[in-house]
Amino acid sequence: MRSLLLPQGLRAAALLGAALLLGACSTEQGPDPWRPTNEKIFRFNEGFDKSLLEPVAKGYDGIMPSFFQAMIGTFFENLTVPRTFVNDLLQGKPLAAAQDVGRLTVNVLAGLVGFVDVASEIGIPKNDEDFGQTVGRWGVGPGPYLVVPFAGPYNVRDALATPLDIATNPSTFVNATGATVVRIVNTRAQYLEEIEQARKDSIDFYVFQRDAFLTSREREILDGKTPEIDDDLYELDDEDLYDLEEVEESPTQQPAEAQPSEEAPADGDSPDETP
Amino acid sequence: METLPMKRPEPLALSALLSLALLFAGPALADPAADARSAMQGTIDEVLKVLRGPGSDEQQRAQIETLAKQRFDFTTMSKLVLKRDWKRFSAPEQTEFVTQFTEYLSASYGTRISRYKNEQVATLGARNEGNGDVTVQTAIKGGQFDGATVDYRMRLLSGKWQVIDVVIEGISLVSNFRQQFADVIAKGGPKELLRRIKEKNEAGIVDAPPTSQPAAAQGTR
Repeated sequence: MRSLLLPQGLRAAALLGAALLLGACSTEQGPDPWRPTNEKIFRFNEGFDKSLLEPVAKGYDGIMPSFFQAMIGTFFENLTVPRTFVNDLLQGKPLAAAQDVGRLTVNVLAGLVGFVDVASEIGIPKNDEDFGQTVGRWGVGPGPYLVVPFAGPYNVRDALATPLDIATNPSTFVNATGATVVRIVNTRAQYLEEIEQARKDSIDFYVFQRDAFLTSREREILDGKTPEIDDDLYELDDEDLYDLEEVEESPTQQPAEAQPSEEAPADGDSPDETP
Repeated sequence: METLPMKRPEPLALSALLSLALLFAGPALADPAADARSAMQGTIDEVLKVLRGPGSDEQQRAQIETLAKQRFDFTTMSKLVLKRDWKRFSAPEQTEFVTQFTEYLSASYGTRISRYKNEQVATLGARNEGNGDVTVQTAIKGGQFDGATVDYRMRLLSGKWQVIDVVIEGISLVSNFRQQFADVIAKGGPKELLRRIKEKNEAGIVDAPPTSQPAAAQGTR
């Protein structure tokens, strides 16, 4: 779903930007060296989503039965099968490539020109490969994290690979702005609850989104296998310092400070309210 | 020299040794992965029973939160999430953090899980980790998120297998929150983080009707 929200023209612009930035920066400082810029674009994207895309998607969701939404989703998904096919070959997966051919054939011929996923019904697996994953599999690292206007989370590797993804999507060769809008709104409608929940769930949605994106891309490269988590993550730091008693069983003991008012901000240094 | 006086007793000694070994190895032979798995399976079954049973969404969510609190070790999760920053919290702040974070996580878990009313959960397996932890692997079956994986990292703590991390589709809660929190702490210190979590808890992570959530026992305005 990574690239679904991105209209074609913007992709090119985004890409150019990415290439320029790539030349200018090293990747020394963790996955997000361009954070200040990224965060600005992130806020812009959030604004765009909340003021336009999400409300439109909600309206659409209200009138379009989920049954049709799924069909439309399937149709656009089928358009990415050629991309997956090429990349399965590039990754040396002839069996998967054969499945892709079978999937598209079945869905086009028996699935109302691609609106019904007959292939899944009869057990043809759905693969998902793109050029970013292929290069990743070849050993190219993700490069810095990148937030693209309107498109959201990216990394430099994937951004640079995107033109090839576009070139292998049949819809590129049809001038169909209407269809693109439908695709974007339809996709957004399918994630209404998820995104709303994620916004509510996170203390810092920017960081949440970045980690979720980077991890899931890594996972896609591994074909759905969870990337190994370093055992360090689960090591407690300096045992002696933990003199905390078990508090779970005694919720009554609230520190006095917690009581008086819910807003009581720390000494004047907490200006930014989450909207 | 082929009298071999020594050879006779050998089989006997061997079998004695073997049974001795078995005797001591007995407890050690118990499979931690299997234990952790059955513990987690028990909790999942109970959660599903609640979801399919009677009661309003609110009541169900409360019940699920209770179940989660029994199986999750929120204190350990808190320490893991804060890692080095834990030291920057004073003792009362630490206590406060665990309380608030527990509230926050169990509410969020409760909401997420309660959406899976019509889905099944399949336990796929359990894996021993290098440090003695066990990862229990599950997946959602059916619905929009068919095939989504949910792994529970478990640790034997005071004799009980407890969840110390949940990895949803490869995304670790501990790791994700650590990144989110480290930033907030770096900029505003422990106080700011506590303020933000409390704010979330009071606003209700879930879209709960105003009357629900008695859990946050503070004087709500």
